[in-house]
Amino acid sequence: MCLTFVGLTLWTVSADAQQHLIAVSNEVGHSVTLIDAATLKVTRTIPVPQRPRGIEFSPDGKRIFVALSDPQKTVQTSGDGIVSIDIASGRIDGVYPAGSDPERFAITPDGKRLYAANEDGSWTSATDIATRKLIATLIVGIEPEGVAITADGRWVYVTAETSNSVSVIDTRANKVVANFLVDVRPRSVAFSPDGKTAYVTAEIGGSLSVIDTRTRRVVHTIALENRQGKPVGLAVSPDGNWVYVANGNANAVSIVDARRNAVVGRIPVGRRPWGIAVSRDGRTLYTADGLSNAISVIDTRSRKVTGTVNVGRQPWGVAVSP
Amino acid sequence: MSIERGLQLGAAEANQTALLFGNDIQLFESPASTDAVTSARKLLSQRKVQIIIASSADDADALSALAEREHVLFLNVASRSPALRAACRRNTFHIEASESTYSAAASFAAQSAAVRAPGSAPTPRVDSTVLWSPTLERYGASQINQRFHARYGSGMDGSAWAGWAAVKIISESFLRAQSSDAWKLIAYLQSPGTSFDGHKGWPLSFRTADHQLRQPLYVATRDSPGARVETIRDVPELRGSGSAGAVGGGAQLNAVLDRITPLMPAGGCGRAR
Repeated sequence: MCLTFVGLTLWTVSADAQQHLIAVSNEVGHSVTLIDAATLKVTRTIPVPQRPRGIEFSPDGKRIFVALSDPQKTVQTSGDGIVSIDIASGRIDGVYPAGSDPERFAITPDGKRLYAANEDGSWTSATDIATRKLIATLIVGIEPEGVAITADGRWVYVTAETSNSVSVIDTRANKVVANFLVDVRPRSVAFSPDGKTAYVTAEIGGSLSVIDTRTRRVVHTIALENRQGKPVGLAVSPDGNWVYVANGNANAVSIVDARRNAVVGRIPVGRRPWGIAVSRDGRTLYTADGLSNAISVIDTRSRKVTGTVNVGRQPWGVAVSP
Repeated sequence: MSIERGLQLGAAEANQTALLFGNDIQLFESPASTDAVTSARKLLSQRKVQIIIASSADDADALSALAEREHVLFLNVASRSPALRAACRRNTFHIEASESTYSAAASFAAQSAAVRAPGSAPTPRVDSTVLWSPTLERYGASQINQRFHARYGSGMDGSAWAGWAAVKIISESFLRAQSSDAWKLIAYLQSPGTSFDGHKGWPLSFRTADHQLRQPLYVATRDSPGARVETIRDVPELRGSGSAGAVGGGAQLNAVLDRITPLMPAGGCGRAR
């Protein structure tokens, strides 16, 4: 009994440690920073060969996927793609074709596929992770950026900055089944945990569009930071009660009460926060403060920054391990 | 040439977006050799044309007047003329900035340069105020510059931007207003709640009083004429207003942009629209 108890405890500790890993993509630094969330210590800095932007953990938490593009923003090379990094070894262990200039992407909850927005094209690439093969190229709006997948893996939403559109992909058929307009220059998209609501930030509109996923219509447009904050990153709390928005030009996070569709708080962070992620227990928020070369760590109860961690040059995205 | 290229890219992109919604936007071009009004009339009679755009400033006033009579829209992408703006035609919207805006922007730039470098050694520098530059990168500028360059092998200049932006603005209005009716488009274009993204980082809007697009201009500083653009700055930033975000404190972005965009005629058109 006693041994079993100890074993269980160890297992819990190890799972807990894994739960608290933070990964940051450094766009100009060409690296990925791994941080132990419990100690806020950088545990590893992994160089990557190109300009990293979108960053996500695999659903099993063993790997990090990073979207890479050519450092010269106007050049597209064969180096454009998505790579996976094995966390245990810190080495790149896979390269996945995902079209040119992939920016943001999302991994299906079963870990089998990834959907990537190809910023310099007008399409979204679907890639099979096991075979590392491109399985579909789907036409969406111009300058696609934000990608999100519902918790049941059925629907993918892709935003397009120039077209002001969101495209709806049915993952069973791998087809775009609907398109709708949102506020001006949409960037990120995220779903509520129950998949009934989607949220889209609009950088030039300075707002958060709230979408009913059943009717695929914008039901609320919530102005943020006097419409001048240039909102980009977006995270929904695991209980679905709060939406956190990183306002890149206001150096602050907006807290939106999802039940009231209203801004209820504001947290000043570092300079130009774009990436934002929330811990699985909903208690901690992380922002990638691009011009501060750091991430801000926020306690969601006190709504205050409790720490900062220096990372590489111009952190772009941040992800929390499952 | 530049304007036509901007219009063509704008039309291609407008169609890409419109196709997502089962709509279709077509650009009909008529040769420059013919009389602009005659060819516009011909297009209006043969096709269901709702928007007229002139690539030459010389034709702007005549086509603006024609659009008013035919109850279609005229988008001005070429003329900086104060007289065209003073005509205050209901169906005309100006994407190109006026002469007075260019000169206001230039004088702000000069003031700013004087403040920045008091008593510094004079160097041969050439400042020009432009609507757009192929060297702009932020706020999606590098993406549109890249798309233009990929298509034409040359940089997108102010005229090309105006052409591209005109088609983007009107096609977005068409999709959002869900109508190509001139009244509905005019109502949408001049509504205070309407804004557009021209990849300039500021929400762009038309001033109700004179239908002038409010937008930042840029100051390009070169070491010598013909040299590569050394720096390019957003004119409102020169005004001590800071970046769009730093304006804050309840100040309106539109008010900042209005400071470099004098009303034409002064005080507005003096009649209800």
